[in-house]
Amino acid sequence: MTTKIRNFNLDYILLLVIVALLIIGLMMIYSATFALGYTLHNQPTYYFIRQLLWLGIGLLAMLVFARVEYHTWRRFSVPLMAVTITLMVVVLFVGDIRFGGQRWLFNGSVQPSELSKLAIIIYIADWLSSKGKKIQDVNYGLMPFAILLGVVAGLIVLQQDLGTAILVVLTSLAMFFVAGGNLTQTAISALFGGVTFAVLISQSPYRWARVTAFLDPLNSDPLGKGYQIRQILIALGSGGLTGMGLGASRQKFGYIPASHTDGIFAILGEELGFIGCVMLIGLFALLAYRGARIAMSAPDSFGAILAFGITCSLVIQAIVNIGVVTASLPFTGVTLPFISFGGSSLITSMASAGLLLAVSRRTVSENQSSEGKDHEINHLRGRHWGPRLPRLSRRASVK
Amino acid sequence: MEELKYRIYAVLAVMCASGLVLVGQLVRWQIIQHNAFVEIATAEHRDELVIAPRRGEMRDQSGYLLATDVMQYNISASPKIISDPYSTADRLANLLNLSRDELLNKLTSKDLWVPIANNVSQPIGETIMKWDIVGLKADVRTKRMYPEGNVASHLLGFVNENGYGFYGLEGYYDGMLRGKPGLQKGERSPFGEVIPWGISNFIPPSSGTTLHVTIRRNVQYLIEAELQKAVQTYQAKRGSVIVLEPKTGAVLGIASYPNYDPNNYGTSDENLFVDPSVSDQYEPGSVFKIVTMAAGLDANVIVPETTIYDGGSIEVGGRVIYDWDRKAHGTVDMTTIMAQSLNVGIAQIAVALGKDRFYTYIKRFGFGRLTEIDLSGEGPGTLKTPKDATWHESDIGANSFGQGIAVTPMQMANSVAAVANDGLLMKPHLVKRIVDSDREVEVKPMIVRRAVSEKTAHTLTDLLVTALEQSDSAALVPGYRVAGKTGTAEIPIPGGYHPTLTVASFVGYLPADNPQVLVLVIIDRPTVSRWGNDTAAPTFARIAKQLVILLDIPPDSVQVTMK
Repeated sequence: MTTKIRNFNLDYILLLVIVALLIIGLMMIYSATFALGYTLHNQPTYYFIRQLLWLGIGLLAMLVFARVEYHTWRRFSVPLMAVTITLMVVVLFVGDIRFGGQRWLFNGSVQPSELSKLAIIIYIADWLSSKGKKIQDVNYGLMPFAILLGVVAGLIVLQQDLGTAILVVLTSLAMFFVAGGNLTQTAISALFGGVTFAVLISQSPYRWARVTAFLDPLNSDPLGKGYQIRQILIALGSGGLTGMGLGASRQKFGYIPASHTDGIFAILGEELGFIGCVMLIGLFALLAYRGARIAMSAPDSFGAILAFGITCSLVIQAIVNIGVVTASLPFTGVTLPFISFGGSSLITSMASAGLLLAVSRRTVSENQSSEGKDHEINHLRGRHWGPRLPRLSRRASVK
Repeated sequence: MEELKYRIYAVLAVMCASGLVLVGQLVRWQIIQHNAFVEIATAEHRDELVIAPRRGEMRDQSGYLLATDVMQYNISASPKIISDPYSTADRLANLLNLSRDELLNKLTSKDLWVPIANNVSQPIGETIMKWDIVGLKADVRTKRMYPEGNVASHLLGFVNENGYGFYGLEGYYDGMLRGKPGLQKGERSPFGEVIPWGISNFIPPSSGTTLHVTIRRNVQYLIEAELQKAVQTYQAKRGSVIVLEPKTGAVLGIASYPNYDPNNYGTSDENLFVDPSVSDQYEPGSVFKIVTMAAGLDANVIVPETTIYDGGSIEVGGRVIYDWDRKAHGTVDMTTIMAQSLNVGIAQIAVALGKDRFYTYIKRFGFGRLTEIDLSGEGPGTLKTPKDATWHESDIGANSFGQGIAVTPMQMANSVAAVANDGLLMKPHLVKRIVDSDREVEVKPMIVRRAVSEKTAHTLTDLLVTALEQSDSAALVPGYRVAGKTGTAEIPIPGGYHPTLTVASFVGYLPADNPQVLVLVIIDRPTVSRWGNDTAAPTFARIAKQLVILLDIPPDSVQVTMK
């Protein structure tokens, strides 16, 4: 066997990108919250210190995920998924209602749908990679996949968190496609998902109002549903090319609701201008590129799909967040990974990044032939990690 | 594995496209529409706060405060951001003496903003500020304060809610007292907090001018007390007193009763706001004989020893004039005419002067025009002259003893002050010193014109002193020679004069040899007695007796030895 697996070969460029994003995030959070912290808690660093705490926990999670051999998680993918679904059901009955959505546990400190994203990605990567070519078969691939995704997305929608549901569905579809899903099937599922979300949106007056506000962001209901997007655009627009300077935002003084969470990109745009915005988008683009490279050089299809799933999850979330802030998408509450204030979001993003780094450590050296890689993948799958499927027929065959 | 790569590249391509769309949107908002958004943002953040200037104070001659601005607070709350409405309601209830339940209702209401209490005093407002409870607001505002309450109310006037002065000095000097407002330009959050690095521009307000008035607080207090007593004792409708310094025209005291409290002008009868002593006119009656006599003496038509035959009545211009007692007094000299206040006698002097000279003198004494005293709403009185179509020959006779002519109390006092001031008519004034932030102006006495010669003035003064002494007037002040004249004027009503009601008045000055102070007392419609000698004259005496003490005017005996 000529295959050479390079251990401890971390993707340092990706690590740098993540560190840069985290530093920008801390900077922007302090800038966006010192006035708020002083007004509400008489302490300018109130939010900053809390974010530092989350960052500490996030670093720990990142370290753990980066150190642990990523196949370990495959072994736990089914119990992890079971716990996730249970939590999502539990939160429906006992969760706190906050900001119009029922998505928090433990007095608002844990938001299961954020953490569930990672479990779903691990599970789907496991499931898809176990299918191989059979994924092209509608009955064997698309149908169970659609049902699984429908249940998970449905549970998230029931928590009134449409944004996360859309993210999960988009990420899953991308994974399905990359895992070798039939192009037509992927397109049809995407269409089906799109129609479902369209119906969900049109059925809810508050979501519909956000769509109408999106269509004419500056003039529709400037004091009501259109208020937030209007204020966000004022922030972005007054930033101009070079911005008003770090810390000099006016709009963060209570004009933009949630300016430190979902709206932080607007403050960045106001303070650092177009140049700052494009640099941040560039960092996410670099993240997408490095993630894709890791996926392409992963030693097995689980690693490839997992790495790409994580990449998609982070990048799509960034696209949706920035899309909302630039009035390119209807308003939906999605955080900007690594940047927005909030524990669940930051820890999940950092854990995801850790997992991505873990995959990068196990890449096959680039001069390896694709043949050898396939061999390796088959080898690994056959020896250690049997596919796990929640299907009776499959279980029967195992017995 | 090649396919995996292609598929990954496909997804990356979609991501790239999305990213480009986002960058395109950023170009649209941040580059293309940048200027439009800057305009929207500027308009939205702009905040201009007009800072009210401090209104100038008013102080009396000795520096006592008559009017000043005090700080008050309006307390309000934003119920939504008050974290503990229960303890807040408890504390407010204790401090403001308000019902705790009512406060709790307000603090837990769904309204964004609720008023708690208005116009609370400075210490209470500052206590609330010190609590520093988020959501509780104490807005400072200034309120005009008149420490002496009703004292000098007509003279001072008042300031309304919007900071505009009305009536009296507040009305007359409003522009100077008000000062110039400042402007705080800045940027603000929707909750009204200043954005620290927003554009800011501060133009400080400039305080209003401080006025030092000629009034003496103790004189003012004295005349108000005596006037009130007199109006009540004689069961009169109202009354006025003016105290002048004849040599300068400075007003030492000016009062009318009933008055009001300018601190609470809102709850007062608004008919009381106008100052009767400068705005209302009345027919002066016999007091006006001083003017006619001065004219006769000055034009050398008569001398004090000239005698005139009083047959009890005389016809002037077709109208028959009688004496007050409807009796014939025979041959009388000038002193007797004044002592017994004989209309028939004084009318003959006016007739002898002729209409031209008579009205020239009346005008020289300032009648028929404003005295230009620095009080708002001064009236000119009503003087008909031969030039007016409504004038009639008979008016010479009536005018000679103060009928058919209407004057303001201030005109009357000031014209007699000219006699006391060696014949020089002064401009009456109330402000002695104007103190600005950068300058201080002393107001100099101003001579309007010479009304009569110095000799005439002295002769008339002696004549008035003798007349008072002859008639054993109630106005006499022991130890001082007093020059003066009573008046009992009938009140004109449509078609003639009221059968019983009168305006009783007395004007006098002392010491006659070196007049320091002049006092005009007007008792409007006394019912206990209709005569000036029974009402206004004794009031004058009471005031004068105390004034000589307050103003340190030595008795005549001392003055003689000093000479």
